[in-house]
Amino acid sequence: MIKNALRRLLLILIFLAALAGGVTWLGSLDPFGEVPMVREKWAYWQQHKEEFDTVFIGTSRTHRGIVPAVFDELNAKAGVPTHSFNFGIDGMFPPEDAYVAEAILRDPPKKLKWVILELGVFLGDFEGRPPKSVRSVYWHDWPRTWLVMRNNLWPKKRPVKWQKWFEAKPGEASDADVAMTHLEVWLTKTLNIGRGANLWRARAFGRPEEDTLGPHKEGFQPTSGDGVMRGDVLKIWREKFAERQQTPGRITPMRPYTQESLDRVLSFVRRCGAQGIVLIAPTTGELRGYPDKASKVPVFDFCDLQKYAELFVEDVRTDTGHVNVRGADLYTRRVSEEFLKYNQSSTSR
Amino acid sequence: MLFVQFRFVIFFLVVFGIHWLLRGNTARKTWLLLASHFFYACLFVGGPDSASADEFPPLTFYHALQDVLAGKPGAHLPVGWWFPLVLWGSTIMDWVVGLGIGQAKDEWRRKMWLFVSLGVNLGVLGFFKYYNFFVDSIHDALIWFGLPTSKWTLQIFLPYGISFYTFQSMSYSIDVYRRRLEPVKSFLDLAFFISFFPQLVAGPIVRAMSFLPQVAEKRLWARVDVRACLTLFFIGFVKKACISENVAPVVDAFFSDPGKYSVGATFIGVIFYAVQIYCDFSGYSDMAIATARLLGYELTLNFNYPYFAANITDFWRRWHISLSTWLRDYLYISLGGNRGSKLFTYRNLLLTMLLGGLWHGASWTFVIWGGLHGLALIVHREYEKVADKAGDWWQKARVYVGPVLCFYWVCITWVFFRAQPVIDNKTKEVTHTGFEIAGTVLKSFVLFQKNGDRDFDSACLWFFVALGVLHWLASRQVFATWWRRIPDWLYAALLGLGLAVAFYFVPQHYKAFIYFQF
Repeated sequence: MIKNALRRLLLILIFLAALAGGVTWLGSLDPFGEVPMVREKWAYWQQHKEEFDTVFIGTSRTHRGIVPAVFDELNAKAGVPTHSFNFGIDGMFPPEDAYVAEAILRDPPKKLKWVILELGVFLGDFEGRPPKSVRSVYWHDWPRTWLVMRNNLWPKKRPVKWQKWFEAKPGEASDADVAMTHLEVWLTKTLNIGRGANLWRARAFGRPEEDTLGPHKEGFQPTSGDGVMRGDVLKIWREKFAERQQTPGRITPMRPYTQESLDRVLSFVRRCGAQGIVLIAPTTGELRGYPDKASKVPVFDFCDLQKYAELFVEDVRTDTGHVNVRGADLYTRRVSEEFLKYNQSSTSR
Repeated sequence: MLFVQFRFVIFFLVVFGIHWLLRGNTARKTWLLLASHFFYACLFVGGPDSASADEFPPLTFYHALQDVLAGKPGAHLPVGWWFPLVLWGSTIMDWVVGLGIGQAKDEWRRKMWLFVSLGVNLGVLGFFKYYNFFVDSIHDALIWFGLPTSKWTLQIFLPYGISFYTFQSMSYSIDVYRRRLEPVKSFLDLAFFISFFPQLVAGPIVRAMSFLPQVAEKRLWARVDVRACLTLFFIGFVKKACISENVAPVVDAFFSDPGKYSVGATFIGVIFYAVQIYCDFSGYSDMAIATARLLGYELTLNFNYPYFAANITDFWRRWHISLSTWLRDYLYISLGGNRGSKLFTYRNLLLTMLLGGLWHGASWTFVIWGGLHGLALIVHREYEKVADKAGDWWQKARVYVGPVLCFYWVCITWVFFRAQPVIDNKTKEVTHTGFEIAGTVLKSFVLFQKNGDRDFDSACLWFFVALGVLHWLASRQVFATWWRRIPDWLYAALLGLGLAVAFYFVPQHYKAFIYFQF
C-alpha cells in the first residue's frame, strides 16, 4: 500500500516537474511579446541596449516628460557624456515598474551607469484595468503578487483583524476578494495563459498601431493634442494647484510596500554596478512619498512648487500630472542640472 | 465556475478526494449531492462565465452568511439565488409523480400523474424560456395586422441548465409511466441523478434508466480507468479552451458585421463557427464524461465525429446524441413515429426537429435551424430510395460527396443558429435582426456574392486545415491506443508538457460554454 502511494506520488511529481519545465521554457520566449505599450520599447531595448548607459524608468510622467536627447546634450556640454533611454510607460505604477526594471537589470547593458527611477503611487488594485488584461497579468510574478497581496491584507505592515478582509459594501470587492484575484492572476501569468492566444489574435486581426518610442527612437513621446489645458482639465488643475500651494513643501513618508518594491529594485541596480537615482515628477495630483533614508538613494524632487515654480506654470502643463512639449524640455533641463550637481558632488567625495 | 477554470480544479480535487475516502454509498451520494449544489450555486453567484475574483464564490457565500447573522439577509444575495429552488421543485415533483405512478391502480390515474409531470416541467420551462418569446411574437403579429397592442414581456432570468435537467427529470417520469423503470423510493437517489454536477448545466442528457442503476450500486475505485479519464479531460480542455476560444474572436468579428467581408472570409467565418460550436460543446461533454468517470459514474456519449457523417441522418446519430435520442424516444415516438403513412412520418419528423430547434433557444432562427434539419432528413429519406438504385460510380462517389455536402448543409443551418440580432452598444437598439444577418451571410456562403472586401489572415485557413487533418486522424483511431501503451512515468511527463503547451494557447478571457445559454 505504501509502495503504491509512493509510486503515485512520484508520478504526480513527474507530472508537476514536466508542467513546470514546460511553462518555464514557454514563459521565457518573448516575455513582453504582446504586452501593449511595453512590447515596442522592450523589443527596441533588446536590440539597442548596448548603446545606452542611462535608463529612465517610470510612468507617463517620465515617458511624456523626459527628453533623452536634451538630457544627453546638456550633460555632454558639462563634460559628463551620457546616452540615455526613456523606458517610461504610461500607467506603469509600482509594482509593475519594479517588474520591468528588474527585467532590464537582469541582463543589463555592459556600460550601464545610471538607473533613474521615477516614484509612482503604489496601486494595490488593478489601476482600473480588467484583472485578466494582458497589461495586468504580465507583471504578476511571485515577488510582485506577494507584495500586492500583503498590501491588500496588511496595508500598514501591521496585523489586522482577519474579519476586516471580508468586509465589503454590496457590489464592492473585499480585500480578500482582491487578494484572491491577484493570486489567480499570478497563476495566469505563471502558466502563460493567453500568451499563444494573443499571438494568434494579433495574427488574425493585426495589432493596434502603437508608437511608444517617439520620433527619435529614444523612448520620449510628447503628450498628445496641442498641449493646452482647457475646460475641466484646467479647472481640476487650478483646484489641485491651489490645494498644493497651501502646503508647497509637504512631504509624506513613502508607503511601506512602495518602499519595499523600490529597495528590491535598488538592490538589482547595485548588483549590476550602476547608480540608482529616484525622481519625483512635478505633479499636483499625488502625494510626494519620500524613500526611507536607509535606502541610501539620491532623490531628485521636482514636486516642490517654490523651488521649481516654472514647472507648475499653466503654459507648460497638460494636466495635474503631465507637462507638454515645452514643459518636457524644461523638466529635462532641471533633471540634467540636478544630475550634474549630484555627479559632481559624488565625484568630489 | 467552469470546467476550464483553476477554481474548478480545486473544487474537483476536494470533491474527488472526499468521495473516494467515504466508505458508504449513501454517504458518497450525499456528499456528491452537496458538492453538486455548491457547483450550481457557484454558477449563479458569478455567472457561468465569471472569471473575476470580485465574485469569488466562497467569499460571496461568506458575505451572505454574515448578512444573515447581522439580521440583514439579502444584502449580498446574487441575482439567481432562487435557481436551486426551481431545481429542487422539479426534483421533488418528479419524485412524487414517480411514486404516484407506481402506486396508481388504474391506467387513468397513471396518465394523470404523468400529465402532472409533463405539465409542470414543460410549464416551468415554457415560462422561463419562452414566455417573452411568445409575447413578443404575438405582439409583432398584432402590429402586423394593424391591431392595437402593448408588450407584456417580463424581466426573466433563465435558471442555468433548466433545459437539461427538465428533460432528465421528464425522462424519469415517462420511463416510470412506460413501465421501463421502477419508481425510485429514495429521494436522495433521484436528487443526485438530476443534479449530478458534471452533467447538470449542459448535459449530456442522462437517462434515468442508465444512471439510476449506477446510483444504487457502490462505485469501485478499481474500475476507474484514470489514464483514460485524464486523457479525455485533456482532449475536452484543448477543444474548449484552445480551439473554440481561439476561433471565437474571428466568428464574433464576422457575425457582428458580415456585410463587410469577402466570400473567402465568409467561408472562414461560417466554418469557424462550425468548429467553435463543435469544440465548445463536445469539449464540455468530454470533460463532463471524464469528470463523472473519475467519480465512478458513466455518462452517455454525446458526440461521435459528426462532421465526418456520410449524410444528414448519420449526422444526427453523431451530433448531440443524448438530445437526438431523447427527442426520438420521447417526442418522435410519442407523436406516432413512423407507424403510419409516409406523410404522417414526415410530419412527425419535421415537428420533432422544429421543437428540437426551439429547445435550443427562444428565437425563430432556432426554429428555422430545426426546420432545415427536418427538411433535410425528409429529403434524405427520399433520396436513399433513389440512390440505392443508382449505378456503381455513384455508390463510390457518394462516399466522398456525401460528407462534403452534409457538412456544407450543416454549415448553412449553423448560419441561422448563430445569427443573433446585432445591438448597438450606445443606443442599445437592434441594428440588424438575426434574419438580416443570416441573409447577408447566405448571400455570400450559398450564392458566392461578395458582401465587402475585408478578409481574414491566411493563417485562419491553415489553422482550419491543420485541425481538420488532426480530427480526421483521430476519427480513424490513429491516436486511440498509443498513450495506453507507454509507461506511467512517460504518460505523466507528457501530460504535464501537454498541459503547459495547452495553457499557452488558452485565452485570458473565457466565454461561457455556448450550450449554457440553452
